[in-house]
Amino acid sequence: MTDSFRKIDYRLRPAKHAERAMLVELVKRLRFCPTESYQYVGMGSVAFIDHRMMHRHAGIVDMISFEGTDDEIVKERFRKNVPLSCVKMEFGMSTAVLPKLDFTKRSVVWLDYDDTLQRSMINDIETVGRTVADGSFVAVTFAVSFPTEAEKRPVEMNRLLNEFPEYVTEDTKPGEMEGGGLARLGRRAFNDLLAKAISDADAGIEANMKRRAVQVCYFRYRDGAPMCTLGWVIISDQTASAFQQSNLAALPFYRPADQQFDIRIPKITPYEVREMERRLPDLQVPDLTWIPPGERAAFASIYRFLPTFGVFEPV
Amino acid sequence: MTETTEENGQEPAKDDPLAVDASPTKDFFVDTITRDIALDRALADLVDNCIDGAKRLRDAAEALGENMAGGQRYNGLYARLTVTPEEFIIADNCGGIALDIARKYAFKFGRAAGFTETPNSVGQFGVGMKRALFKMGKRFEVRTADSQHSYRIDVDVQKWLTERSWDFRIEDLEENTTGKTEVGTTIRCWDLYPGVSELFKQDYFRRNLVSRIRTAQQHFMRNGFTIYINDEAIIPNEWQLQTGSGIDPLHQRFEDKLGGGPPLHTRIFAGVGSSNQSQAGWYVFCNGRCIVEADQSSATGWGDIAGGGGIGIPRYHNQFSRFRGYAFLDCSKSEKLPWNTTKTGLDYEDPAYRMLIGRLVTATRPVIDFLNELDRETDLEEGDRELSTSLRGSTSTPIADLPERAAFSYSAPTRRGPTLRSISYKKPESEVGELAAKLDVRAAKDVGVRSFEYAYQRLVVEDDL
Repeated sequence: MTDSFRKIDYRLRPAKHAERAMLVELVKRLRFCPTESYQYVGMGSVAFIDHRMMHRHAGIVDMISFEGTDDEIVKERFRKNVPLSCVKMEFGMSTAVLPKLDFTKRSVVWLDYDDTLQRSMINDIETVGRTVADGSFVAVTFAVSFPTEAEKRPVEMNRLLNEFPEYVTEDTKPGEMEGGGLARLGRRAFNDLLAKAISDADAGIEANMKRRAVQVCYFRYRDGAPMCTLGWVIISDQTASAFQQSNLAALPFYRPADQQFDIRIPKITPYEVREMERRLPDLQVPDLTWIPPGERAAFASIYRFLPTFGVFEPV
Repeated sequence: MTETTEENGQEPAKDDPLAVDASPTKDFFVDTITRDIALDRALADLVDNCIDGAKRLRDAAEALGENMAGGQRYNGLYARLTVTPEEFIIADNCGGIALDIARKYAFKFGRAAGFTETPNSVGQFGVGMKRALFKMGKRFEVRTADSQHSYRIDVDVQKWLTERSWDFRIEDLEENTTGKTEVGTTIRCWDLYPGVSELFKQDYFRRNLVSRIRTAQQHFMRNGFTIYINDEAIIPNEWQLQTGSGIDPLHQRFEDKLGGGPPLHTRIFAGVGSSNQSQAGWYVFCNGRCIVEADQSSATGWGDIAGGGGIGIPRYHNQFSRFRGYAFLDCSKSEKLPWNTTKTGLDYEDPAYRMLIGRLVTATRPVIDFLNELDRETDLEEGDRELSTSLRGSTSTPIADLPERAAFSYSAPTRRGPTLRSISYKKPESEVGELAAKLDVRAAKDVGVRSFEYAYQRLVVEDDL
């Protein structure tokens, strides 16, 4: 996970930006307690953009960023880049770091991997799920690309068969893993295993305190590679009414089931943006037919979360 | 062994034409449930009864979470097992069976309502003693004395099976308030079944029995209880994990309510020990009794851990032979503990088990990371094997001395500069020679180094511009 900052220029990731903005929007709507009292646990890499946003927009002041490196030189670069004094760095593998964190405090946890779906990611979510406080928000991001090279396809298929024996069988065709197949597999596996981990962890407590994970988002987008993000709010009978009041269903990107929300960045000019903004929220008006309908639809679904890019040239 | 007869079952309510007979038969207890348990485990069950007696004598309610480092709570108390091809004897000085308890509960199949359980008991289901005795032979005798009475119970199993009544009879009942007979219980079983007698003849069986009891009862032995087999005292193990030199084992404590009543206390330790495939895995103890030993199955969560051998990476090597984990579950209400009746495994539906399993998985994962990384080091040159070096510098520490820590952690010695990897490959000699000339070097090693540098410059450095 740590190496990703070497591969991707974090400044040029509009879909990622939109995703962050949407997750922040979702967190701001939680009505379990003031969001300022939550802790944020994420993988901030060297740019710490999600930590900045969670602090700026949701007022969170208790923040942890963890990175799986033990190289002193790399660690120093992370430390130097910490943008806020309230962000604490933890170095180590997720298997060793996550059990050490105190999740009894209401938390926003975002395990933002760059790698393709793996069983160990589910193990991480299970670790968090076992102890994370009622009223928390937990999200995971993973890549969902399936190799196109003929020689790599059976190797990858075999890996999935080994890691997800409950979901992949000998009969499963590589083609089923393409076109969102891997995201669908991930959604089922994460949902099932997170539910089991939570249910087992709460086996011995009173019925009204037993927690459950409610899926609230399911994004797909391209960030270099095709990506998938899943998010759950952890609730119990005790907190069900606070969850109702949060009214996450009103968010345009709320996705409780197997229908994903595609984050599609419209390819449009600044002039087109201005023209469309003047007419929002209805973009199906006749005088805009010169903008392709697909771009208009993409813009309408996401305009609130789009980044603004500019080029500044010194004169 | 026996034939079912009408007489030895309870009869259905004759007056009720709709009544269906679901009552058990004696044969069920003699022939059927005895098959569910291996002989050495059945004998360990008998030792459990002695331990429960010891707990009653030495106030076990206090004993909750007793001294992990060892103590003297059970000093002077013992169980002596005699195992010969002719007979089996187990004798203890752990308080005897009170007359009233014997009459109403001790010999009843299953626990009757009204029975006051020993707090933190290891005998829980009311089947262990009877099952063990029925399994071994056709005759048994129980002699016991407490501070009030002494008496004996003599049973001829074949005869009992043909009788209508389910009762055993108390004989030679005497007052013992003067302490004429030493307090304790002796159970003798003879007229052994041929298979049992043959096993009892084997040194191998006896050695196995010693090792089973050493594991199952080590906690009590470390607190002063002595167990002899054929006059030889068993020396208890001490559970240890490697510490120091950057390696720190996990030690966690939990207290769970699990409904009303006294809480369930859980202590978990996980880390690495010596490389030994047969000892590697999880050990789970319920009220001090070892229920699961050296387990690497899905029962303790291994199957669901990526890279743990079940999911992801097949276990080709013995890289997990250093894994050690110990989970101690204690509750003064022993029915809250997640054991099965043979005390050979865990009850997977039990809430206490379901809460435990996730904790074991979380505890196991960083140790697996460490062991997988350690395994990968075997490909490196000696000087680069940092984790192996750490491990050699660590020391065995009794788990009682471990500070609390939420996760197993390890840190390789601080590196100077980046991690180095070796690359080696073979190529046709003529081609190596041609490339050496182009690169203006001589040694094959330099051809390798220079060609790597060349490729790196072309494909990585220049590509990044």
